[in-house]
Amino acid sequence: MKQNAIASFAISLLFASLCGLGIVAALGASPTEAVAAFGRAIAGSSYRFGETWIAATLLLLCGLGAALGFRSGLFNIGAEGQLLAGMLAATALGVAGGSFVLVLIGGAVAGAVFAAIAAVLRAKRNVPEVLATLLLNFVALHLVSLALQTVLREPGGDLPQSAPLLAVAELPRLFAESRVHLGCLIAILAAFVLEGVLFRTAFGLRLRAAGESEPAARLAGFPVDRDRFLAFSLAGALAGLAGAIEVSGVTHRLFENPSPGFGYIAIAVALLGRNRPLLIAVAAYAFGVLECGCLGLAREIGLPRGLAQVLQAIAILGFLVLESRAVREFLTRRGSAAARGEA
Amino acid sequence: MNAEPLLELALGFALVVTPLLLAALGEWVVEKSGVINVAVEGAMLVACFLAYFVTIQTGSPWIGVLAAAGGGASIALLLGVAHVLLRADAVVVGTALNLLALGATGLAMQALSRQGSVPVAEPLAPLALTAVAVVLVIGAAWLVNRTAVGLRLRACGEDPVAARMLGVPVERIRVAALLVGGLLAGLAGAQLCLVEARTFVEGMTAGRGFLALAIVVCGRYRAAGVAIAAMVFGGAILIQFRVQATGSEIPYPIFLMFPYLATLLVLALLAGRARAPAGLGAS
Repeated sequence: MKQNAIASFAISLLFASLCGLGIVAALGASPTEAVAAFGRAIAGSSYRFGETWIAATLLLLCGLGAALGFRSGLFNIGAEGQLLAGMLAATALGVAGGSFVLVLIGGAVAGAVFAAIAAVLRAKRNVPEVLATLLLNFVALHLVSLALQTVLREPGGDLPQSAPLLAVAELPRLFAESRVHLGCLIAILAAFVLEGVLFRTAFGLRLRAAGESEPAARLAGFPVDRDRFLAFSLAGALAGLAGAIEVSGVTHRLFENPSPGFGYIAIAVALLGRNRPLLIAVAAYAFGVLECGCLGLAREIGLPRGLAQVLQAIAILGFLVLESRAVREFLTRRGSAAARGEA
Repeated sequence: MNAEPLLELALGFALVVTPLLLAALGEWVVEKSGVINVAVEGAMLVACFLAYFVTIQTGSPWIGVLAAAGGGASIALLLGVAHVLLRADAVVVGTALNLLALGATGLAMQALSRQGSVPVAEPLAPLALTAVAVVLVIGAAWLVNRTAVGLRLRACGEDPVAARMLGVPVERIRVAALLVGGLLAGLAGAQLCLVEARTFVEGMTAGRGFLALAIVVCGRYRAAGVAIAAMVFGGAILIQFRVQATGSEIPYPIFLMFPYLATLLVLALLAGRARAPAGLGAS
């Protein structure tokens, strides 16, 4: 089963890369040059190599949040909004002089609160969580621009951006020659902790039960609503933490439109990782590489920036098709037929 | 009393409501068949781009409308293949399709503007698609509620297993419903692009497709309800435009946020009593 997932994963990434080469050629650039530029952008220097880890950190934390929702049987499409809420809170605290620990906690809390709104609407008012989280993403997006035009706007600045964070609010960097920061370690730690929570605790078992069969979980007397509320808030906290880490570790201030859809890509990352935290880490790294490589293509040979999104979407669609029930059943049938043939 | 401002207001209202009504109506048909199409947003975006591109290439906005409808339908067809036929999860595939649409249209537009060929598109007659939308609402309501095909469609939405046992071709009907939904989302995109903006801007649908999903829930999964909800939401957006245009001191993000907050509020009030098709999401 696991090997199948990894094979599907590899095939879909390969397919996306081939499509990428096709698009590069269609746009009139040289594919060999593009491959070289891609390579330089992901491993040309320790700085560039570090950037892939930074991108993966964001995707990993948001992906873990999405997976937590999926495991409990809820669709958290709101990682984007929760990420933005985390960035907003982190910036407010960081500009005001909070230490980076406070900044990260604040970001996580903001993300959790933002997710909790959707969870409450679902539990109390029967609002589908897919809709509530999608709509909240837009609220968050405009909330960021509102804050940047009013309370968080840099005093005396011309642009709608915040003042830089104070030095105490910046996450410590791990190496001198790259921007890799403490947040990368926090994300990896979070993956291990979540793996433990999901598969080694009673809470994780109850959550997975609710996701597999809600009626069965209710029949067993599990507090499904409470557990789901907790899972949703925790997912929001992870996305909010990702936002805070990005602000405090990388950008050091808040700009308009600070996320090019990381929260949506994170859903794909969670699925590529089959909702298993440790596999999600691998998927997040692969997508981080894709992100940085495509940024390099934009920088060096002037390709449009939407390329990364397109390739990520192709990879995830390919994976979904390969992993879809129909294809899996087809492969299993052929597999068992072959086994019978041998016997 | 001068009727001019009133007429102008009515026209503005019709222009805002039309894309919402078209997209929501399409999504209503899709959800009645038991499928949730989160990719309305992506279908509209692809339609916007194709409407613009084909119109500036051919000079005829009506060919642009056809291309937009085709673009919307092809996104829906992708969902049909992946979800209905291959049984991958609809929400996840839909989200991926939105990502694909956003990236691909942005990519294409950047490539186009680099060639320097981005003129303003020939406009479409403002109320042409509004008239089409009104006819379609009545037609779709009649088709879904009063015909044998509609009964089969609703059967797929309520209990696909039972429907299949009675010989209803569930998959075929759902793919057909998706195609209809995609066509309508395409028309909605054409209206957004060719009547209002007359150019293409990255992400120009700005969540209208997601509002369409909310409209279906707020309209309690009924055609008349969907039409009323679309008008209420359109009204909210129109108020936003109007107040914004008075040049008030209020920062503009508040206006941009307003339709989404209003939608959440309406959902909180109404969703509890909406009854979704029982087989929504089941295969």
